[in-house]
Amino acid sequence: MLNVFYSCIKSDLKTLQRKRADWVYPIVFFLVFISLFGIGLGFDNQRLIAASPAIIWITFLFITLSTIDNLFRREQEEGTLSQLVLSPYPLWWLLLAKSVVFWLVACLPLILLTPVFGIIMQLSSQATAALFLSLLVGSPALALLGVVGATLTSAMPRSGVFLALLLLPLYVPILILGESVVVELQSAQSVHFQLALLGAISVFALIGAPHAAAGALRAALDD
Amino acid sequence: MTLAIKNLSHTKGNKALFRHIHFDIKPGQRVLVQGANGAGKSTLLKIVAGLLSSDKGHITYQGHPLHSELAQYFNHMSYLGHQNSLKKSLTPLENLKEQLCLANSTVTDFQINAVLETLGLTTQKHQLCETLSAGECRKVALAGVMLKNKPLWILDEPFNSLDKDSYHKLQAICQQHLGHGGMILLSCHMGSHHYEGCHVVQL
Repeated sequence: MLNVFYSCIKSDLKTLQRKRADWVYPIVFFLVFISLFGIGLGFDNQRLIAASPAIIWITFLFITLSTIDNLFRREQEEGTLSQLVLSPYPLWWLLLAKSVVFWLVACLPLILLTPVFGIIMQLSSQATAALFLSLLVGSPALALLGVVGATLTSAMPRSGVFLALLLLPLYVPILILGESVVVELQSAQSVHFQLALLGAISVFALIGAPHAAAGALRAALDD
Repeated sequence: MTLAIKNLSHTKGNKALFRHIHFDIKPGQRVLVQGANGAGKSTLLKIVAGLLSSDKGHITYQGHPLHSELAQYFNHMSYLGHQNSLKKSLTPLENLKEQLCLANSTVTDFQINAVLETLGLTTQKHQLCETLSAGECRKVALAGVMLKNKPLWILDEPFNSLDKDSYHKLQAICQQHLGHGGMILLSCHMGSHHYEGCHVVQL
C-alpha cells in the first residue's frame, strides 16, 4: 500500500520536474498579479495594507484552483486516470497520493513565497507570519477540495469556469477563517480558535475528500 | 476461472448499441468482438473491464458478479483501451514501472528489458514517450499488458498502427499467453483470417 503511494508521488513529481511550465507560470503569475494591486493602489497606501491579506488569499484560491484543474486535465487527456480506476488498490488511496502531489506543486511554492509578498505589500512581520501560518494550515483543504472538483468535472470538456462556480462557495469558509487569522493577529488577539478551525477543516477534507473524489471519478468515467 | 457474459444490453442516448449479448471465455480461449464503426465494440469491452456499468445483463468472473469483487477482478485482468495511457513526459521504462506498481505486479528489471527487447524497443526505452511514434507507444502499452502477467487480457484494437513485423510477434505472444491458460477478449476490424477457430461476437 505504502509502496504504491510513494511510487505514484515519485512518478508524478518526475513528470512535473520535466514540465516546469505547469507550475512555474502560476508562481510568476501570482507575483505579477499581486504586484499589480500594489501598483494600482499605491504601495504606501494604508488601504492596500489593510486589504492585502484578502488580496493574497483570493489570488491564492484562484491560482491553486486553476493549477489543479490544468494538471488534472493533462492526466485525463493522456488516459492515465483510467489506469488508477483499474488498479486493484483502493482508488481513494491513489487519489490521496495525487492530492499530496497537487498540494506540493500548487500550494507549497506559493506558501513559501509569502515573506516576499509581505515585503511587497509592506505587511508587518507579525502579519506575514500569520498569513504564512493560515495558508499552511488552510491550503490542504483547498487542494483536497480542488481534487474533488476536478474529478467531478473531468467528464466535461473546458469546465474551468464551471469548476470555479462549483468550488468557490466551498472555499468561502476557508477564506473567511484564513483572513481572520491575519486580522486578529494584527490587533494582537489570540488566533488559536481560527487556526484550530482551519486545521479541523483540513483534517476533515483529508478524511472525506479522497473518498468523494474516488466516487466522482468512477461516475465521470461511467458516462 | 471463467468470465461469463449473460444477456448484456446497452443503450447510449436513444440508440440501442447492442442487445442480449451472450458469451463465455474459458482458460486458453480467445474471443473476438467484431462490428462496424459505432457498433459499440469499445463500449462492450469497457463494460467487461468494469469501467462502465451496463443497462441490463450480468457479468460473472469465477462465478461471482463483477461488481461485488471489483478489486479482486482488477487483480486478474489487464485492459488496454484506444488510448495508450502513457505519460508523455516519462520514458517507456518509467511508465512501465509505474503501471506495474499500480497493477500490483512484481516484475524484475530483467523481465522488463527482455520484453522491450522482444518488441524492438531497446534503443527507445530511455527516450521520453512524447518523442516516440504512435506505433512505438502502442508497443510500450502492449508491453505493459504482458508484463502485468494477469490471466485475462481485454484489448481494444490492440494492433492499431503497428508494423507487420511487430504484428506477427504480438500474435505469437498472444498465442503463447493462450497456451499458458490465459484468456483474451479483443476487438479488431482487420486481419480476421488470423483468428480462425476463435469465438466471434458480432455486434
